[in-house]
Amino acid sequence: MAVDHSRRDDEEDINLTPMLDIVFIMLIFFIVTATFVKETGLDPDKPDANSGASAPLASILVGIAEDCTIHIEQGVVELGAVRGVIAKLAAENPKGSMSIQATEKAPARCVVDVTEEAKAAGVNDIIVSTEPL
Amino acid sequence: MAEEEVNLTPMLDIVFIMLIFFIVTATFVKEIGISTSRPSDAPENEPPPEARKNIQMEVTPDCWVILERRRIDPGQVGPNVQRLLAERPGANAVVSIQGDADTQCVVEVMDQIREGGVAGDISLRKAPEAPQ
Repeated sequence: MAVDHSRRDDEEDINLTPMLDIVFIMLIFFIVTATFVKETGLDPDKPDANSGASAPLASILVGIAEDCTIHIEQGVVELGAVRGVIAKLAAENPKGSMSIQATEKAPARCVVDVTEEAKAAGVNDIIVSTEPL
Repeated sequence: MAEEEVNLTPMLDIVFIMLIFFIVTATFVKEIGISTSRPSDAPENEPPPEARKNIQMEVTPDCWVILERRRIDPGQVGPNVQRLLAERPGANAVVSIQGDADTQCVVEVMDQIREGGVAGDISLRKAPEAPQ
């Protein structure tokens, strides 16, 4: 017992530095990549397209249902109020882009309306969300 | 020697809690889509010189495409755009949407435009109401 105790004092001190390095790097990675996405609350049947490119920074999600209602952050937003809501989301995630998740059968003019409002709110990086064929 | 070491345990606790928080809240969104832009309203009476280069088409409510005054199927937009692009390299595309054309139809057209080789903007706009 006495021998064990003396060993614990001197030699059994684990060097924590490499683990700390890794933990800090992981921490910084997750802080930097953190985008707080707010789901739309709508599960649209997205249109199919071959040429869709992935948009990893999409953080402003806007859903458009078949009856042209606009869904943001689990709620329905009137077209007149969309600009303010998008501006607020853009301020929270300045580096994020916007994705319009429209249902296949939604009229495309509603997509254009939302695009116009987003541009007016200062968001220029907009994609229409698709799914591969 | 033993007394001069800083106690790292509280800092480690905090770092681990932050790490776990950011891991748990990390959402890696997999969004796939076609980028779009809209022509600006500003130059109403004097279009910029590059506007003439744009490849313009209209999508009708029953999902036909009017390109250069011809009525074509959305699936044929790609080859047509490719041909036009050879004449006007670097052109952008403008898609005008008539009435209630649905999103699937418009996205199909946008898809074809991209496959036809347009790397620039695909602008969406509403077609002015046709007098009938």
